[in-house]
Amino acid sequence: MIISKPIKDFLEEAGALSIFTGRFFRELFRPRFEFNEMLRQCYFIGVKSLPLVLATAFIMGMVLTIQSRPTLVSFGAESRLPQMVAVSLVREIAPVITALICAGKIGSGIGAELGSMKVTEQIDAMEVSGTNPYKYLVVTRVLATTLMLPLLALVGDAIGIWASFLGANIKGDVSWDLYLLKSFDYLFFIDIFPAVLKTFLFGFAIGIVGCYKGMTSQKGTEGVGRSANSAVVLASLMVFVIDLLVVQMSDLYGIIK
Amino acid sequence: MKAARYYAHSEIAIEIKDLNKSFGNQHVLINLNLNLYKGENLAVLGKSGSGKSVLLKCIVGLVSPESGIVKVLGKDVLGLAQFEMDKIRMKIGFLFQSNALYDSMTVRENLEFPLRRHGLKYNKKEVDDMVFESLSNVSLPETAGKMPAELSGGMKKRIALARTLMMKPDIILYDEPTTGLDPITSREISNLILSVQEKYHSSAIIITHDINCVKIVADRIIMLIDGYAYAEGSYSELANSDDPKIKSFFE
Ligand SMILES: Nc1ncnc2c1ncn2[C@@H]1O[C@H](COP(=O)(O)OP(=O)(O)OP(=O)(O)O)[C@@H](O)[C@H]1O
Ligand SMILES: [Mg+2]
Repeated sequence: MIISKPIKDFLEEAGALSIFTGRFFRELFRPRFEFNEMLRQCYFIGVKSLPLVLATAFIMGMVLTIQSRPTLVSFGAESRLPQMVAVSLVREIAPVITALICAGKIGSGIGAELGSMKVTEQIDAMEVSGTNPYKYLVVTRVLATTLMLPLLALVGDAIGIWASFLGANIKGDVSWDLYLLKSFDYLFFIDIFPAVLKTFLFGFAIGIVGCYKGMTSQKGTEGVGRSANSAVVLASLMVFVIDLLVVQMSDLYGIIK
Repeated sequence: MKAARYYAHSEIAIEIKDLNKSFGNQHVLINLNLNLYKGENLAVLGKSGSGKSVLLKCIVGLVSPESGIVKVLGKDVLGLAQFEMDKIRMKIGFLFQSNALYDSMTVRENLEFPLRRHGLKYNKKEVDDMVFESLSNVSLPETAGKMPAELSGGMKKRIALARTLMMKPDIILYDEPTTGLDPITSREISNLILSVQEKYHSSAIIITHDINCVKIVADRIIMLIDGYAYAEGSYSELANSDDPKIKSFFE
């Protein structure tokens, strides 16, 4: 059977990524857990992406409020503004924006770092000195992104809602207490659950893709650049695909009201 | 020139038999045979791309050959479980061609890294002493706090050597220790390799195409040509050979 080259490449890549992911789970439960290294990675991820997450969540919260107001006013539903903004922020915008920022910042960082370690034989050196590089480098980073993304997204939620309050006050006058109360009117645990669940998945995807691209980097500086770049592209794509799947699932199971 | 000693009567540290390795349809190593005797400095000469680095990587299990036997200190290393392989690797020091210093760590952390797998076996004082001894061996004791990016090429090479010596390995594999360095630094490194042999009684394979380095360090030389051990002998034997393939290295 003749399969065209792009399709073959795609399938091969998907297969290799799956095997890589399988190896992650195998190594995850092997002894010698690199706890300190994981904490260090969590710290770096937080420090690197927090400012960007804060800025974007702030802007998105405010812009969303300003944009939605006229429509709601024309329906005479201006009082619903906080609910509407809060629901879209928490369910969709904060998680996805945070994930995209991390895909760009963390995904490319991991891809470039592991890629350059790979091409300068640092990973071989680790292996030879008796430290399993897969555990030390990959498992720690994937766990760190998986744990940090939900936290960052929650911070994004909070900042977004606060910015939305500021936005509402540009043309209106509402107290913070009331605004917050209204925002949470329509937010139920069942809203937050899929939203938080998917941020774990986003984090996992970003970590795995970054590490996979780095560890399979080709020789030379060009190879390192390419792995950083393709890590961002693939991770961002995965974020959207996961988002679509989670939203479909929660819709099917009647979680979205 | 070194007063080469003859070691063939002592025990074998590394034994390689009929080793084959190819990448795709490029045959890099073809039925390669090689013995390294205990206490000996064996130089392996070969031109660029002849598979010298691949040979060393086969010994430590970074590259798996298609067929052949690789025995390190009497143990067959091919197909060994990870855990067993790590035990063998602890006895081998590997100096990478590209140094492979961890560039996100300081010199001290680089040197301490090989100790990680020993957990709490060493206390702080012992580790400090080991780091200091290693750095003194390469006469760079004041660099402990520096990052690799702040070091010159020759210093990096020496730090990489210091890291290799941290565990006082029985066997040391040097991959082109002097390539890309000026003649003076090259000679320093060569002398360092020699003093390591004398101080720790280690056995070593030195990959190189630097004839001056060979002159200083080698007890025995193997020429890797066309994927196998083409010729073997002492420096003077090979230097006086009539074979044009051998001669071209010594001109
Ligand atoms: N991982 C690999 N994949 C494919 N080919 C490889 C790989 N590693 C080495 N080769 C090929 O094997 C051959 C030998 O490589 P090797 O690195 O051992 O050369 P070398 O003798 O060390 O050369 P140099 O003196 O330049 O370091 C080269 O032609 C190289 O292209
Ligand atoms: Mg080489």
